[in-house]
Amino acid sequence: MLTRMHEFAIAKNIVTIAEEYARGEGKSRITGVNLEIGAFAGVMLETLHYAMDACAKDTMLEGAEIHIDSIAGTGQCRDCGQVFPLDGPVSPCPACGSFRFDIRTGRELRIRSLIVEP
Amino acid sequence: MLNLKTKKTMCDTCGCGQPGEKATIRLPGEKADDGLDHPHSHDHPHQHSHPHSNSHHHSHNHPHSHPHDHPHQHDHGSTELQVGEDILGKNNLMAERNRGYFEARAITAFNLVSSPGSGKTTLLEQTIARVKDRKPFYIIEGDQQSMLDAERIDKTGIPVVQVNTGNACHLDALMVREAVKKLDIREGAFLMIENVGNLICPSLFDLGEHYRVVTVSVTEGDDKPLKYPGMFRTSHICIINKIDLLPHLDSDPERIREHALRVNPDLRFFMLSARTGEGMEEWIDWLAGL
Repeated sequence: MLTRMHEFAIAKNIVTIAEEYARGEGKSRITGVNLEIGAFAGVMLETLHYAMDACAKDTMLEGAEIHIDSIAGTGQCRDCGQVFPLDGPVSPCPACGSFRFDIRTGRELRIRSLIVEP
Repeated sequence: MLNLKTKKTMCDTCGCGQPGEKATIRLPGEKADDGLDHPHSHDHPHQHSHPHSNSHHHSHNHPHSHPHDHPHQHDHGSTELQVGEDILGKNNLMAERNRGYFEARAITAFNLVSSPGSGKTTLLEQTIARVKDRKPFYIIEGDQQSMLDAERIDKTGIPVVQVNTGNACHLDALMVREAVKKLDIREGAFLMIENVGNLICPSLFDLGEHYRVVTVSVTEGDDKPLKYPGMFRTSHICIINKIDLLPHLDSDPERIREHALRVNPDLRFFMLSARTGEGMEEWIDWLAGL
């Protein structure tokens, strides 16, 4: 298998944060994890699923359902101010053709919520 | 984030239950203090053929994250716990702490990133040779294995510490903090952090640097910035290296620059050959002016 992917570091962080939150609420088991991952966050979703399986082993998350909402990218043009959907990380402003834009959404890496049991 | 301190006995990359391999941080000539630089052989059987039946994802076309406030019905008295936390939040926090430490001591920190073989270490050696009389320098070398780069830098007489990340593909802010503790950096110094050669993973991990410097050599293909936009987007400086090889190549450094600007209109460029010294002056002048 491919090793050395940062998706494993991300998966380990998810496990750590999720366990902290669940423990803080006095819960012992996590059956679901809802994630928000931006389309341009630099994360391969397949790899992240695989990494989550590996990292959840022997933790409160073992067997938890991993649900990922992919957040679409939007950019805002620096030249004309247009806000537009990003087809790719390098796509010109549809209004004026400029490549000078700031990414407004699409770089999220967030745990939205957990499904926990007592 | 790779944990330096946790006792978890799971392999960082495959979850295979190997003894926890953590980053090793050493000065040149120093023995590994925790015996963790042993080779981590993966000859144990892996059974990774399980189906991902309990996982799924789907795309939404609406750009904004929104609260999912529709009711969830779960069996067995399970409840939904709102978290809303950044997955890399801990690294970002540690990076801010590093930056605060640097700023309190007027240290300027650079995170040098690139593909393997772009000439980062040679650039570092040549930069040190030209600036060390004007500025105190300190180096953190990041590699998966070996002390080779630290030994190269050690010959320049500059304080250097090597971080071997083991299986991890990037440095993180905690590794940098631990390495900085070993260096005892003087006020007003430059700290150059040479990251693991990799254009993908390190882009996600803020180390607390002031300048992220991406080096791309003209041998790598002019479309490199378009292929690895994340790294070029998060960098401040782009060094186009090995321009002495241009007569032998179809590469056009202007095209590299144009592609990089499409990804990040704020990039500042230096075109040079660390090997021959061509173009080094402009880079050195910029550094010396900081």
